[in-house]
Amino acid sequence: MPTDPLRPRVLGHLWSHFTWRHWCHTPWRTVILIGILALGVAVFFSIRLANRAAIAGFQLFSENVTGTSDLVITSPAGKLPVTVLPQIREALGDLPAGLFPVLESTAVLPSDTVAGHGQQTFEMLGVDLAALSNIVYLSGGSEVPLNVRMSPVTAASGPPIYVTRAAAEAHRWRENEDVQLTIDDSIHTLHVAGFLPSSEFSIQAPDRLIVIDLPALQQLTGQTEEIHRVELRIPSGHWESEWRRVARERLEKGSEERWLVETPDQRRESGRMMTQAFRLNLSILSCLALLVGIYLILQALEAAVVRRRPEIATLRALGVSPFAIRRAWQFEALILGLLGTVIGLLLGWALAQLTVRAIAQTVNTLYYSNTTEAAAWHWGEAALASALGILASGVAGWLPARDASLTPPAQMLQRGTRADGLKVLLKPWVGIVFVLLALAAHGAPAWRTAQGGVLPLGGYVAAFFWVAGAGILAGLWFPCIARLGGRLGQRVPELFYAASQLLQATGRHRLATAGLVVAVAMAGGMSILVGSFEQTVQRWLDQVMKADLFIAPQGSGNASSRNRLSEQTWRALIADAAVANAEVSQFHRIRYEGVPVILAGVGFEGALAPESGPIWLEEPESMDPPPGVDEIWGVMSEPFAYRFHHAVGDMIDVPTPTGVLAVRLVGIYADYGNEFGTIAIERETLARAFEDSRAARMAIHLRSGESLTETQERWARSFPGMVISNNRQLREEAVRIFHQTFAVTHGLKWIGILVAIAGLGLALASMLLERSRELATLRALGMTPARTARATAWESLGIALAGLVTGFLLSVVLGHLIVYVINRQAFGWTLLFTLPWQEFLILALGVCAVSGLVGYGIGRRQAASLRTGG
Amino acid sequence: MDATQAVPLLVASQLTKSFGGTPVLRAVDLEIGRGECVALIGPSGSGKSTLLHCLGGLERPDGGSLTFDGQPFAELTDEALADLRRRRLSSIFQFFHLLPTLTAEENIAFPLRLLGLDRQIRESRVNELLEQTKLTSRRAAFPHELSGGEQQRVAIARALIIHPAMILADEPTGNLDSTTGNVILDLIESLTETYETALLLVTHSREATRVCHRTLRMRDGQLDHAD
Repeated sequence: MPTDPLRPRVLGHLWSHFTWRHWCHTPWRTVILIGILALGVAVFFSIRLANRAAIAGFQLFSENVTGTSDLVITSPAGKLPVTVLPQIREALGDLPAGLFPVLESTAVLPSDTVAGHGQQTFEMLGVDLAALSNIVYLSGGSEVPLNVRMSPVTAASGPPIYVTRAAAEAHRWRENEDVQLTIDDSIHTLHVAGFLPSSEFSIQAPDRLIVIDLPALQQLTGQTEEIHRVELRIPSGHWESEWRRVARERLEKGSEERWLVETPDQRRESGRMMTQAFRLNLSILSCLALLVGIYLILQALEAAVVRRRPEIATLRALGVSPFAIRRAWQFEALILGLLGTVIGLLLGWALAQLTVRAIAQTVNTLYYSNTTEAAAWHWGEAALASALGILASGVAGWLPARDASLTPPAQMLQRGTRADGLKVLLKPWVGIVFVLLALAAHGAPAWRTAQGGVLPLGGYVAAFFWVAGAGILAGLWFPCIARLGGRLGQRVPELFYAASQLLQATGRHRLATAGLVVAVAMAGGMSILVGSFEQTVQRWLDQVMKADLFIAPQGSGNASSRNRLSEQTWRALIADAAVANAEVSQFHRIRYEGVPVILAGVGFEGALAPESGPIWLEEPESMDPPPGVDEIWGVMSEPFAYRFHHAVGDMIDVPTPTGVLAVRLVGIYADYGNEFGTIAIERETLARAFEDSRAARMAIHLRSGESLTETQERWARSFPGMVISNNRQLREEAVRIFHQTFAVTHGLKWIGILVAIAGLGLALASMLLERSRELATLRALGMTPARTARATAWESLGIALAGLVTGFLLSVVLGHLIVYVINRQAFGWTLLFTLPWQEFLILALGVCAVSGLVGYGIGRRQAASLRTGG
Repeated sequence: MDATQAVPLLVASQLTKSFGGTPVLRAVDLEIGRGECVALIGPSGSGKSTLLHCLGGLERPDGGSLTFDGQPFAELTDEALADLRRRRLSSIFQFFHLLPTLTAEENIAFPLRLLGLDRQIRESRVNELLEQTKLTSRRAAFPHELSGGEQQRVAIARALIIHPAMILADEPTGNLDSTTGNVILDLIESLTETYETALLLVTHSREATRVCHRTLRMRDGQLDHAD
């Protein structure tokens, strides 16, 4: 490496006398460039912040009963009998520890609509309020937990509840007044006895938390002998950590598979793992804008190299070393990166406040209760986004810096001549190598984390190489497009001229195309994913939604809902004269191999019957064991089979409150309702095992001649705590949830496309600047600025066409990768591959139209910037 | 001599032009007749190129009048000036200014494409000029594959393809060695005679003036007769 004794001073001088002055000379260009980078960083940062906020929402619910518990005792079967408390105490022996049993339930405001979808769900925590006062003692007086007032409630018409001030304000609840809430399928009157604390000395409760005394909630939900978890607190002091360790050891030893012992961190981790694939997909999508932004910065710096070529040549001629030139350009990229990053972080934080609700809603619907409405600043995420932004600008600045330092001065002095631009884009073999690497990565297995998470890293690596390879190979279209343009342009000189430019496309043409390829392919790939998903879900809904009416307790649209239909209710409905037949189903969240899964109870004659049952991937020959075989038979959903590598014929142990059930798996069905995986057994077997005959939902076929609307309205009056949807309403709700899930995806897609088109405009501007002498010649030959603009528009369209064709081909490859590799590995779902032609057509027309307009505008501006006079 | 031949093709009267307050052309008067070859010499910065740009309609003068074939430039819109350049007024440049993505043949034919002429007419005229400029064997070559002399011959052919009334040549031999420069000058002389095209030749070289009927000298933005 050449040494330059004046290097730091030279660098400073180059910065202050050249780069800075150029920036000041073209402030808008600089601002746009910084803005684009800022947008990339902002999108990434906002998605990360919003994701983090959604996770934090889970954390809040899991933490706020006793403050930060030392240990949490749960059951793999989802719930514990109250008799477990003395057993836990016995297992702990003489250790000083406070035990706080918790029962969880959900409640919703009674709905005045029949379908009642999209309601806010309140999380109800049943805790032993008297025992909670022990926390002050256990924490050595440093913590005040849910500091509820224990004064006797007078004239209460229902059990006392404690709510947040935010919820009270939102719903106009006043202290010492009654409110009505739907718990399970009944409306109950509850008494607002006080407010949950919101001071800085206590733990902040989520807005939609309601605390109620444990026995009262047990009574309301009919679960008098059950709790969901026990939180354990060790007294503060010198022995605290030792006692915690011993407590854990003793509890694990005395468990006998009756309970699981976790730290709050492990509970948080399980919440994180539930949404890992969802968050990873969003994070990777959010990199799209940044990736296209890299292309854009690369183009912009390349353009700046072109613009300042004579200046670089002069500096070189004056003895400035190539090394100093290169460093000056890299420094410029770094400063751009820093500025873009700082603005991007601020913008990202603001954007996160908008996206967090959409993400939280999706998490709420698909994973767990979440009331997050704001995303807090996080320095770790800010550091990650900054590193990415600066790295992106560094990568983008490296090649132009190299070009600037290596181009011979004599060549650079010839301003107005064409330059090849990035030479790597002129080497198809590099693209072929990337494609081969992508093919190799295709087959890589998913990476399974210690917590049971699945990350399809091979798929993502393959996608990266496909994108990189296709970006380079896209240039191979130019000769074809140019020949076509040349033929069509026999009588259109502007098209003929544009075609001649494309026939000898430079690295700059190819770079602009590569940027478009990335954006179009990612957008197309996402469209294929969403389209395939939609098509598949539609087909699935057609298959499983054949009943006339669907009944569930209110609030059941949220994944966390624990509301159920009582046996009395569902039996009353079955007995209704309008009902021809009904399918009653129940499910519980359990832990299988330490990972959350769903155990469902369904009617084998109804829900799983061939004519109305699910889409079978492996259809069971029979749902009943042959005579003499004393086994419980069940079927599994596709994600379950994939996650736990189970095949038909496997025998598995399923934890239940009454003991472990040995279940033989006899079939696999498609299920797009959740990604955790479901084991379905006969409903009555499940009811016996859980000693719970309630139901989560019902599907009802009416007798012929019965009026759907009348029955729906009659039941809504008789059972006000239920959501009664007809087939159309439920489908609409499913479609609404589907679109809500992909709302952020659509936003990210269009941001990527916009950034790519901005890149195309920038590339055209730099190419025309480079060709200023050609433009002068054209003018001397009698071409008006309008005709020059048309020629540029044609050229822009040619670039867009190459980008679109390659982008669409690549999107099919990426769509295939997402549908069959990434989605399969992350969620275990088989989707029907669908090409959304209409969306592709709209995308193609949109990109062509905007590219043409951008090209025309830039051509006109550049032609007009030559001296006036026609 | 008919009446039209008696009227000068190009008349500039009291032309002035300044850039940033610095006068570049100071009351320039000039007349060029049909088929007449005029050389314009002068030191760098004397205003030769600016005068050429004004005469070609590429630059609007600040003052004075300019008429081409009886048409006052001041009355012509930008579109009309562009049309004039497409049909009657050609340029040749020192650095050839060929369109780098077009072959020699395509470069020559390009002005005819702008006029929307049929392929047959284009081919016949291009073939004729390729022959006259001795470039038939190089017709498919791109500019970067041609020597300087060949590039300038392409530029001359391109200038003549529309059968212009006048060619404005800005130091056409300035970027060539003397031998090649002489060949180019001979070619310009013979072809302008063949096509009866007027020529304003801006040059540094005294030698170049030999192909012209008269020579003008430019100094500090003003014209005077050199001989």
